[in-house]
Amino acid sequence: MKRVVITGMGAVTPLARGVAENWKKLCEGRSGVGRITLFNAESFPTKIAGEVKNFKCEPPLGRNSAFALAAGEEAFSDAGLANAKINSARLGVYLGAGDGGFNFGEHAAILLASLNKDGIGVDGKAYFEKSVRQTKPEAVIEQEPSQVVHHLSRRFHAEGVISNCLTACAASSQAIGEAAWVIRQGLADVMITGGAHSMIHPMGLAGFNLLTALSTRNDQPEKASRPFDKNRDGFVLSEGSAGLILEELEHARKRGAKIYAELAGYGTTADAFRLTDPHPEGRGAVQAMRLALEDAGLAPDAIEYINAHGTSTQLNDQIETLAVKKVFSNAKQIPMSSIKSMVGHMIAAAGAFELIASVLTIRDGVIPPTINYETPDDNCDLDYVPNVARRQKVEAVLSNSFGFGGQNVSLIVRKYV
Amino acid sequence: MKRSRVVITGLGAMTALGEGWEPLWRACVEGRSGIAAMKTASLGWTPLAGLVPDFNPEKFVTQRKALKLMARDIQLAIAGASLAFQDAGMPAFSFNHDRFGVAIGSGVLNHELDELASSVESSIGPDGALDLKKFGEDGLSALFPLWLLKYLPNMPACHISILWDLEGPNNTITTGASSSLAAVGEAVRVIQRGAADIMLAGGAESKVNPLGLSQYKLLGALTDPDGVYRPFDGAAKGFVVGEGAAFLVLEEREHALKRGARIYAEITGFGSSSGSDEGRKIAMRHALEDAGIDKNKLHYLQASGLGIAEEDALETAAIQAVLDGAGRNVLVSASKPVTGFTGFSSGAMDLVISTAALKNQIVPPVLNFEKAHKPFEFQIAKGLAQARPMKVAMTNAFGFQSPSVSMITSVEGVS
Repeated sequence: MKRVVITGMGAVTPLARGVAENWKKLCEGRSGVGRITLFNAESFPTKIAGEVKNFKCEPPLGRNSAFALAAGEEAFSDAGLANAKINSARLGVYLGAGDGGFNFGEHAAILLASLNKDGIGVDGKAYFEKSVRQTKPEAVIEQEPSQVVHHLSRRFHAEGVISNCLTACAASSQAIGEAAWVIRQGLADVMITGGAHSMIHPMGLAGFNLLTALSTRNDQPEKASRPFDKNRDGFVLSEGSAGLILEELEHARKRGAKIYAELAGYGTTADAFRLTDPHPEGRGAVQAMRLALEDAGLAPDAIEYINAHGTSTQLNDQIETLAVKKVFSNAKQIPMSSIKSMVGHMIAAAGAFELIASVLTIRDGVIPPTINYETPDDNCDLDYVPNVARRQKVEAVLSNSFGFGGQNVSLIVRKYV
Repeated sequence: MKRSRVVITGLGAMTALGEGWEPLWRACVEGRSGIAAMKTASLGWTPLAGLVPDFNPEKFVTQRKALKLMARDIQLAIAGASLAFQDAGMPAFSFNHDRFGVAIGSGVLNHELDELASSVESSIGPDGALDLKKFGEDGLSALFPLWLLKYLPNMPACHISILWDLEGPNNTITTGASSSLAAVGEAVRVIQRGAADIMLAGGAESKVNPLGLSQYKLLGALTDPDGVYRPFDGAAKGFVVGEGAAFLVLEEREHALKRGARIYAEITGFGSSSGSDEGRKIAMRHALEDAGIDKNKLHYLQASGLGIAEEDALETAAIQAVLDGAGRNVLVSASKPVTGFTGFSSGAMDLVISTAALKNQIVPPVLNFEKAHKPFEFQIAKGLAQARPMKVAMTNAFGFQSPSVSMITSVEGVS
């Protein structure tokens, strides 16, 4: 079976644009969370989010696509592919990109103008006619999550395996795992992978607020995302993109590419339990971690750092802790941090950015912290690398991503030797 | 790398033709369409559509509470999955739940306008327009609290995993028009690499609603209100919207043989590429390569055949370029006029049809096809269904800038 290495990375997040600046801020323990400025959220239960700042995005291009193009560009040139001779039929794109470009204001205006005369319900024909007159076709097609891979495949002349998966908050990790398999199975030499998403729009915020999944610590935005802390009250919605270049080892060596790390293991399962709650025993999460270890051919004690899903919701952090303890008998000795404490939850794009952080942990021997960790929780009793980054040599990292509906993905990266 | 062989052991469909793949197949062979003028009161007008007749989701989901959580697309998905499972002989056989997974083609699921309208209505500001401040205060409480879950693209796969306790790999592929055929391909890869014994794969969509109709109209995809859906015809002007679900049970060959399952066909090749002109060709070439067969082995192709002139022209060019002379022996069909264009489910729908065609050694006709602008370099399935001895089929899913997907199925030495 072919081996897969990471040869390029790019990121656009609420913390910064570019991997270097992002990594610096993660190691400094900085937060990218603030008051929402993209629309008026002053009367929503949650008024804070992690927004990508100073980023020009021209409609109809969705923010998801714009972020992905920027992160993809950085990853592609970081990998030295911009001037490399590559076979476009063996260059693929597999993303975990979310939907984008939903114009709530416009949609609401058309709805209001199409109400039945008695004010109850919508006149379908009137809606159809108004919508056809007022909506731009480009805006319709940009909503589909498939548009992000469309833009990237065009930009980088990628005509190999092209796909996009959208498995909620596990999407970009799942995309990376699947992209790795495309290379392992010999179907591509190079895969552009990762994720992109922005749900910071009125319906996204409303949807998560109604599920009471979000933090409402509006007066202290930077303190709101506090994974594993006893007083956590939900996750912080954020947006962005993270892109990685996966490459078949021999292909990378032949062209003298810089190799960051090896993508060594991937495990994926379904909880098959509930739509929002994880399985109380962490059934699917446990199995995903075990499958990833088996896939990497590593014993649990080879893992030296766990990059947690750690969303800052009561249930996730508790069950993830429980699941990790089931898989790792030495769990208390393994540092496990959540960078969502700083960057918030980029939903579909979260896992890919967390994998980038995992790779840089191996490269630099620095573990990014879980910030805002103040009060220990009896149910969360592991070493969460509280508040300050830690210098520690690490050769193998496990990164978890879980999603609504019981989606579980674990990835393992290890030092390339 | 040695890979496991993957066979199809169950088919399920919900379409305008009714419940199950058999009525769909019969209609395909007889050249009947399920498209009719809609009589849905909520729409206020009666466009042509391929609506599932008398769809009763309660037959498939017994918990009423759970039904409330599901967009119509999800309800259709569960119905389609149930039918595929039944067809595969479930629950009569036992299986390892850890090694049974799901891959579903999905995308943005359309919300019910009335559901959002009441919320928007309670958020009107002094100027008569939507006031976000009021939306945050009053609009939110007028929304269904589990709104988000009702429409998340991965929910069809999640509900199905919960209903049948399927704990294996679970993926939701969102590649637009090719979503469900791409999902089948992904499921094939999962079994090939040994990560599962059985996968349910397919997709569902219902955009037979004012929002969906307006979106397709905006994309220039809808035929005239009184138009006829006629793929590859010189007068093709667009499609008629349909809704439906199409699912296949895919199984590792040894696993299927051991339990004595009925095997319809083997999936031997899968190719995907971009939505560009070149991408269509590469997807087909990669599918042939993946199957390890020469194009001369191909005798039947189930085309995407969207019925949009530009799309059909691109697919025609791609088929001719890839088959390059060998096309003279290939009979090309397209079946979307039977069900209407069923979006995310359409690729798997065509695979269900081509699988039935292989099994029965009959190629169904392209409904309403009369004459092309210029002669094809392949045979087109015109007129009546044709009996034809054939071993290998290709099925395409292209269109709307979506990634291109092509699949090879075979009945040679499968059981």
